[in-house]
Amino acid sequence: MSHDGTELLRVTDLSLDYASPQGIIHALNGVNITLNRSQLLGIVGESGSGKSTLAYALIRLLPRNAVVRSGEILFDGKSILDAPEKELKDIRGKKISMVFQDPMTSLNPLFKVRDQIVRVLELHRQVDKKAAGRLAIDFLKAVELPDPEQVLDSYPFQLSGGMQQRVMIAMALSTQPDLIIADEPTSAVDATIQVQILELLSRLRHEHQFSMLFITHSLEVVSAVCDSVAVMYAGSMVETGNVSDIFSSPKHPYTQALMAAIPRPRKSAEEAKRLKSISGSPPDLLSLPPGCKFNPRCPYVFDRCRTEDPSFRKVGPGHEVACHLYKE
Amino acid sequence: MKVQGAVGRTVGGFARTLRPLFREKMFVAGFIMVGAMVFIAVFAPWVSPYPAQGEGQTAVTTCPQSAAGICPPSLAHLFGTEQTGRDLMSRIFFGIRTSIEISVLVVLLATAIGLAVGLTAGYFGGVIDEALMRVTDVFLSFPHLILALVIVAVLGPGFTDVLYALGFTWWPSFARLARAQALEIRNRPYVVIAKASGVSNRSILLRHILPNAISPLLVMISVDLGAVVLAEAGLSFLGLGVRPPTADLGVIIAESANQITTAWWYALFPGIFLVILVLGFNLLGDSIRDRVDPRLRGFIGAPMGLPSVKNPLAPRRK
Repeated sequence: MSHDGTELLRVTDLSLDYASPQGIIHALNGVNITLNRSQLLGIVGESGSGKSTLAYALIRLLPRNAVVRSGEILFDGKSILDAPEKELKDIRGKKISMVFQDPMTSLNPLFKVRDQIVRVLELHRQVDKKAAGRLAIDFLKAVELPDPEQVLDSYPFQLSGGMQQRVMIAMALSTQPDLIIADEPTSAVDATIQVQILELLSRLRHEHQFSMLFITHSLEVVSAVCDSVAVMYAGSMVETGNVSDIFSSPKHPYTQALMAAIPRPRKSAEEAKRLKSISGSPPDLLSLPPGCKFNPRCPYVFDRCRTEDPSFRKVGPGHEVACHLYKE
Repeated sequence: MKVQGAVGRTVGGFARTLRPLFREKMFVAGFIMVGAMVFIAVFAPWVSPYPAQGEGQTAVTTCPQSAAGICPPSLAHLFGTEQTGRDLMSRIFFGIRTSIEISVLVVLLATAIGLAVGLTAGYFGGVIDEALMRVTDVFLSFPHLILALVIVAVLGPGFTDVLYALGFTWWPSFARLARAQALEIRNRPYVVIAKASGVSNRSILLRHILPNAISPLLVMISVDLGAVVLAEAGLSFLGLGVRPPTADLGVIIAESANQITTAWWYALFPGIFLVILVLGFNLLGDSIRDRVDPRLRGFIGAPMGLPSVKNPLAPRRK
């Protein structure tokens, strides 16, 4: 399976709307991402920027009121948007698994952990109950859960949040997927567990050779685990590139503002006074501003920004930005 | 598929939450009443003085004092006899048996239909939900008893016909509750994860939605048992219930109506037992509901001092 670096996932110009009583919500507006095998791509953005919508679109598990306006999703060369429902069932869980934000409600409270893992294995790996039980123990060991036997025979409420999230990661891993989509997997656990889980994910990625889409609102989390980053704003990508490039020289004004808002120890007392915040608030997805979506809040805004939606332009190797400040 | 296990566990958990109830007077009273009635129903052939008459055999000996065959309570017939000279106590005991049987079967039938309709509607939503719930609304727009009357009129009276008539009129409130549960549970992360793992809808409904939706329905079941007893007695009173050879409280009370001025025992004793049975079920149901969901305490039949508030469980009509 290991053809490192070959393309696994390509999303081209994906636009998606939600129909609502108030009008049409433009949740995604021309999103482009490319993910190679064994790559770990972080998707950063604030609430409502379309991160989760993008994740659900990738396995076509969207609410009934969602309409794909345009675009294409290619996974392993196959179109997800055109795939029949039957084919999707094989992709969901088997080729793409997901880890969600809140581990405490991610497991059915009425079944033992064993029932839940074994069922996933039976469904996707065609093994009998006994073999599934053995595999389950292997995967619980892989996520560093002590005493996996006992965890298997526990009900979810008997486990801590961190343990439950490890169980969820073990379940996601157990079908040996090509891609794991993690939707804010560390937002609901406390800081020490967060670090442990991030370390675990980085280690597992090298051992189990999967690609990962890591959705988060925290730039620190991205810098800790990801290879590359895509920054989202109001349903569009504004900047993509390697973690090191983006952190050392952010190009888009929004990315720069986000960086300035990260709390970090500073040397002088003067510097430490205040964290910078971004003035204004994210746009109403019902009526997006014309031109660049960030123009009402941008400190460098000029006329062209208000009329023309900027296209992606290269500013370095693998580093692209959608901003009129840079030459096409 | 370990569905039974999980459902059993919800029922087990339900039983555990009920244990402290034995410290509550209301529950204990209801428990004793229902317990006594269930005992009588189960052991009717042994506790009745004339089991054969209870089962419908005509009396061999008529009462010497009365030409009509109705004689007052005596040592031979503690509750007296009814119009054909059969022992009233035996008829009542077998009547309780009929009432409890029908009540339990009706509620089971209603729960089964209600769960199937409600969970499907709530889980799938959209057009399926609309279609199923509008049909439910049509059923809800008729009072229970009127609709049951219509169905019995079509099917004709008899044990199984009453069962179907009441079962088919009782399910809509179960369907509404089940739908509300499914609507909430279908958005829980573990259901979304199951979908994201490629689990089939059928499997999600049976493994995730059903076991998690069942506990509020258990409350409704316990509250509704008494109401069904009363509805069945009402149908039988109107002559649309079970057929004569089978003993039935409603039938006995109907027959006694002509003799109400001359034979006081004839209406009194079946009446007392009907009250005990229904009151017992109601006390049980109410105290279980208070225990399982204390927020609802005082909503149905508000105790003194509390403003009477609209019953949130009552079927809403559009």
